[in-house]
Amino acid sequence: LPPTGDGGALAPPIAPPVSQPVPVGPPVTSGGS
Amino acid sequence: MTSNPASASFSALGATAVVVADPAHLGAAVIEVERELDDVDRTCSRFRVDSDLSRLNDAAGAWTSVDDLLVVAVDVALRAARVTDGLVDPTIGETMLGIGYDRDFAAIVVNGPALGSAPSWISEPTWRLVEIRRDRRQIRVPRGVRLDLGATAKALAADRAAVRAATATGGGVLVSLGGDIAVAGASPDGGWSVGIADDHRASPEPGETIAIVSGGLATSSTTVRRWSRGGLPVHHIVDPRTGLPADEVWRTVSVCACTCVDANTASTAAIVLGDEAPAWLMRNGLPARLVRRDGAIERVGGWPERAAA
Repeated sequence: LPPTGDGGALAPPIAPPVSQPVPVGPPVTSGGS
Repeated sequence: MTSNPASASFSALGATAVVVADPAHLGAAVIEVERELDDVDRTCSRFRVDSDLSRLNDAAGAWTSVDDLLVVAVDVALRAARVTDGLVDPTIGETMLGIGYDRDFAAIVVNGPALGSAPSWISEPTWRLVEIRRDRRQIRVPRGVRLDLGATAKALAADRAAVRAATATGGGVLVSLGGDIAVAGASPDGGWSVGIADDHRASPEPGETIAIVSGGLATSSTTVRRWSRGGLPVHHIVDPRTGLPADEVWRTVSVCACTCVDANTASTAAIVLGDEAPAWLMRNGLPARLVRRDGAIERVGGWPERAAA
């Protein structure tokens, strides 16, 4: 399951993130760890 | 995919793992994620003396037979070094020991002696000298060099676990490992909600929740995993060019990419790059949110503006 290609550059997401004024679903936070 | 996914959390790889999926699939998804994380821990942890990585690091320059998964993980780590011109370098293991990060963070010595002005552990970039024989599943690391896959292995685990769980359940899955996030399969209506903060254990900052539908999202921060040497603060993101913790131009950088590995590679490189980071991220087409030490926020590459209250 190698998810990354062997490309020579970092690849952007298929679709850019969008702002979500009202969170939906369980709380998940991306932050330092 | 329902619009009302459920979540489960547990400890893994020295972090909190969160799995989000349709309630009907959550139990099976968690089992698949746990299996993947066990595999990664068994092969890639530098804190387990019985891991394949520890055996490789202790091999004193000899070819070492390892698990397939470590071959993949080292391949991914070396690619991260290539695409960042060495800013994300898996051969900084000795440097990490030198600055005091020599055990699982929970057991680290919080206050230690000063690092010194001319640290002796600085070495020339050595990631280009790591060799892989894929057909034999063997790796060789130069004598005196230790691999540390910390910058990519957790993100790789998130990517692999999300794909594995989505494939096994036939549903969409989000996996967060200490705030490094991968999604796979169908997303909920409106996408997967993810809040952004300096610390993944904190609540999201108001208006700073985004939705993603594919790939990965990672955040690197100098506000976590801090300790002190000689009374001066030290953090865990090392600039391979100096052998010391990176200058703190940015306290936190979040990046979206096609995978969690690429997102984490970019967020780590951005911390190291300092003032050059926004232009570098834009050249790579990566949506990113950068927070300066004083809290000022810059958004580049299509990262959305703060949501109105």
